[in-house]
Amino acid sequence: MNSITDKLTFGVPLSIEAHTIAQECSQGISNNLKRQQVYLNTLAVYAVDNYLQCMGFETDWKASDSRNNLAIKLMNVADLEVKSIGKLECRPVLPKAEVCEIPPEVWEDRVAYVAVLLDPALKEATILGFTLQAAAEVSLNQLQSLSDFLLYLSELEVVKSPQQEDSSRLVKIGHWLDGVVDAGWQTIDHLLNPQQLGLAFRSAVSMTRGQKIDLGVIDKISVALVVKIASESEGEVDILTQVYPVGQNILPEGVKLNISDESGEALLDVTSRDEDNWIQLEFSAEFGEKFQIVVAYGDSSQTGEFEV
Amino acid sequence: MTNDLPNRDDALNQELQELVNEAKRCPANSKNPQDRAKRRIALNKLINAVRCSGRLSKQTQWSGLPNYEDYYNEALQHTFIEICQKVEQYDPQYPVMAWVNKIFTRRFYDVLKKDQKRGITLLPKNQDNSVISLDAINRDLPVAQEISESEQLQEIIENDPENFLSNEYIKEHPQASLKAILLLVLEGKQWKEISEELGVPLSTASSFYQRRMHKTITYLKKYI
Repeated sequence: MNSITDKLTFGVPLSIEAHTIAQECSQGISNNLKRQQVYLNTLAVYAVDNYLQCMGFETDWKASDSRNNLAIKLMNVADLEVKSIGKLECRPVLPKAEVCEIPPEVWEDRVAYVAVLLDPALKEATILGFTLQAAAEVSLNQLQSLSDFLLYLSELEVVKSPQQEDSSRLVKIGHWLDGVVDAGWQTIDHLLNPQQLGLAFRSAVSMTRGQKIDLGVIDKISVALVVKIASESEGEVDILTQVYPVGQNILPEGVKLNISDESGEALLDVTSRDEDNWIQLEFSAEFGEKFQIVVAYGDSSQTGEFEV
Repeated sequence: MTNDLPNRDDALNQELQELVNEAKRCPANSKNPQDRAKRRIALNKLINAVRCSGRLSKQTQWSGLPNYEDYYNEALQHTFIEICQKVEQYDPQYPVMAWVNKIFTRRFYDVLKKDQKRGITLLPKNQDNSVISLDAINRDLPVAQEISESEQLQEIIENDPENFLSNEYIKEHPQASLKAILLLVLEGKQWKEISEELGVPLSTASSFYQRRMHKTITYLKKYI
């Protein structure tokens, strides 16, 4: 344990709980080296999970590949999902090692790589620092400190987390008809190609705007959410929501679009099938009414809040 | 106050209180990431200082128990999480260590109770129910039924019932199919060897593999 004036680290005692999980994960692996790898990876993730809980981050270890019985057999993986931040890779470092090894199959889709030193008795883990560099080996003395790590994660947390109390995130779609369009929504000719533009319905008393959304964890996709608002009768508007692929003409299978009311209760939904060019939902709403549009693909989703 | 010992405790308490105050000054839900980070750094330092203080309770009333050390570590872990979450509740008229030890004793008791409930069946199966060391991992041999799990996986990949694994391959390198890579990975081959054997750059192969992992898992699960 370093004194508090040295480079900041964090020690986590490896309890029965840690070893029980490590044993559950490594069970059924006949190859000795592979079994040791899974066991140590599990302890490393356990330590980081514990550290982040202390630091007030919300983690979801059970939803991570490192707890997936098949993924751990097919990859040297020690990932940890941190809510609204992304995946951290927690690499075990053995006593006397001078480098932190990062296997090639986890070089993508990581927010950071965290080095976790394990003691020979496997009773204590020390979080040493982190790196953003996905390289086969990172020298331990090149790691960035935990102070920087906490700042980096806090920044991501503030940027990425939806803040309900912040009303500026609420899209005032009712004002669109008066020509007042919320920031972040662009005219659709910037988003879609000419062929797609022909498909997006246009009419005179309406306003159509779109937004690019990135989805997916490993299978990353970009889609355009297009929202058209039209006023047909007094006090009511018709809303057409569409999801198009960006940069290609066919949506991957399994993209979901759904509309929920203010409380999050689902009202309408649609899922893309094989070879769909777009998906859409149409509904009407009264002035002042609030609703949510959720676009999802795989495990990731994005929610937008709207007020007519 | 000429006695050395109370002076040292006073100095410790002052140091700990400063860290507590720094954490309290920066609210956890501040919109400013700098503040959130400052709070977290202060808490990190606080936990380190508590561990180094030499004033953590030894919980001697339980030291005769066979799994004493493991209980101690688990209770300590829960204690640290609680200190960080409830730092606002610390009352500065008592020493920080008194507050910490009060929580620690409660959590120790919880761990004992939980352990009585789960019984010893869920504990690691070796070495008198204590945790295993680096050397011990390799001694812990798997049973025959477990070996067949890996064999089963290999068989499914070789059979590839829907030809999904052989149809997915690295562009212009049909020999570098998902199936070929999976089999080499299961053999325990390193990425350098896989890359040489299949004649594709290492990072091309590993990136191709990583990006298809979730699809592969969904596919394999159907046949397990």
